[in-house]
Amino acid sequence: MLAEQLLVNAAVLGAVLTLFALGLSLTWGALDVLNLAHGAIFVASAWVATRLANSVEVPFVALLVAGMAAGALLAVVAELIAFRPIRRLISNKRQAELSMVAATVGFGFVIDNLVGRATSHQVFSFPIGAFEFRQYDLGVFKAFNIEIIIFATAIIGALLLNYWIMRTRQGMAIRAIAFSPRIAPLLGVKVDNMAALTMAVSGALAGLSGSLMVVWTSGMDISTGHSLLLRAFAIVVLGGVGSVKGCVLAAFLLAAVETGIVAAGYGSMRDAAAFSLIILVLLFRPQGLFGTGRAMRA
Amino acid sequence: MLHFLASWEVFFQTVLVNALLAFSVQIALRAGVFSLAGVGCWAIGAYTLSILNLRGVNTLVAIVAAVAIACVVSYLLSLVLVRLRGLYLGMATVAFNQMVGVAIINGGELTGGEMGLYGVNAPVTTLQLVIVVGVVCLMLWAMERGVLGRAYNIVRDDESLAESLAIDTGSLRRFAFVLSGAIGALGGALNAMLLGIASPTDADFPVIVIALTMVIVGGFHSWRGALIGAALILWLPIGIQSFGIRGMHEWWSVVYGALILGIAVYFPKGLLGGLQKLRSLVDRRAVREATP
Repeated sequence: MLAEQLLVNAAVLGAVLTLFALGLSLTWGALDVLNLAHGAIFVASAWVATRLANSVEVPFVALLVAGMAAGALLAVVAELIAFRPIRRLISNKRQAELSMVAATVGFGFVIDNLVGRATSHQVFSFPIGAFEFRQYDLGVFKAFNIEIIIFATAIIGALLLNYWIMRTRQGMAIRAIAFSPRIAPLLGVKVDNMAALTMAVSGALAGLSGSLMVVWTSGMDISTGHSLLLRAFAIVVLGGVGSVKGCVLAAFLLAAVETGIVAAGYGSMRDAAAFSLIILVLLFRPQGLFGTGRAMRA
Repeated sequence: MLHFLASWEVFFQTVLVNALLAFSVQIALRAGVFSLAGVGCWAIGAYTLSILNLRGVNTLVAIVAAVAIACVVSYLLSLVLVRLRGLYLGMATVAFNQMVGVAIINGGELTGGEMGLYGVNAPVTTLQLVIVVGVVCLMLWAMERGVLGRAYNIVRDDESLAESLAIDTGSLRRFAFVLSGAIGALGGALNAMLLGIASPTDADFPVIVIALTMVIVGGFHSWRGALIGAALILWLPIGIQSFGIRGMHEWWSVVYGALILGIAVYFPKGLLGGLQKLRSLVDRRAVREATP
């Protein structure tokens, strides 16, 4: 393959990873929820979008919105049936973290199996015609329209998320919760509402990346979510939990490294790249490349 | 009774071996060390035993070697990960497990690559498994009741407090790593003996999830919780399928996930914690009734 096309692949993979990992980073940073169901939500929302495309003819943007809505809904359900009761019942932080991880395992298992049943554990994709592929010659390299859309969406999404967290009152409230869920309510922050909103945004990001990826790879099944989840952990740790900038840079770095390793013919070593990066970062810069300590994270 | 035992023998064997996997994670969690490295050691144990067995080494020697290698690896890992706590430590140990998995897949002739190793010939009887797991349980029981158990309680709940009481938290944490690795490797070795194979999926993410689920569902404050969790998690798929409700067997995996979710939310100390709470309620009522 041409070097330029490898670059395009790496950029699009990095963009998908960015959107996916931002959602994971957001809930981990703001709510101390390490959401192991994020991959399941990603696949389930993509499936909802493909189902919708199968039954009615709507513009592609509507399908994306449907995917985002499905992801947001699932994430809010998880917040309501699991994370909120845990926050109420368990005051010890370590214990709460552990219970939430276990709860997300259960929740992810339920979603995975519902989607698995609905799809008979087969690969699903958009029907032909739901998205019209076009290839553009951009001088140096050629790119499909979906590749340009994914890249632009990821950059815009990351910028918007960063603005929301750092520049709005809601974002300030979320950062207050990240700093201390006990002090935040004393300052008038409605923790429950903000937590639900944060989960909804995280789920919507999963839904957006899922609906885009199912077009790009022309299909996915529930194992896609698991593979992305593991790489997103690496990205979140590498970029620093809660840092939008770090997450974006780490996602593109990982995508470049993975594409390079695969192109060099060491495909089976691909996962080792992500995980040796994690260990190195945790050793020398546990707050991540761009983490700024507890006070600022969100 | 004998017939019952015979039909459930495979299930008992699986529970016993997997209980060791659960113990491995439970020991670490109880010590306040969120380490899932026991799963990587489970794979190391399985492969060490299989490699040595296929070269004709005595089974007992192979088991000892498996545990010894896991101890060394865990000790080195504990030195590397000394500064990490909480979810970060959890993620770092997941990374360690994945790297064990990648090493196995790229191990060439030695590990059999993607195919794994077949034809491990080291038969093990249920009685032998019961004895091994029984000895481990006895050891954990003694550890939980003794000075070490109390020291770990403090280290888990408040590390600075433990330091102020002249408890060497560093070496206790390292010991928790090593013990967790050793028991994980023992379980992995026995699993390879039981199944006759070692496969790269031994270090896979689903194994981590299963191990963590067993411990959280049963309760990580005691080895009994891990044992209950292992038995329950392995029984649930069979149990739900045999309820006989129409269409139930198709939904077992959904019910299974929902049960895990419910237990994680409403029983923070696992089923064991729930049982203990129930018992203390009953006891209190008994006391109230006895006192006029």
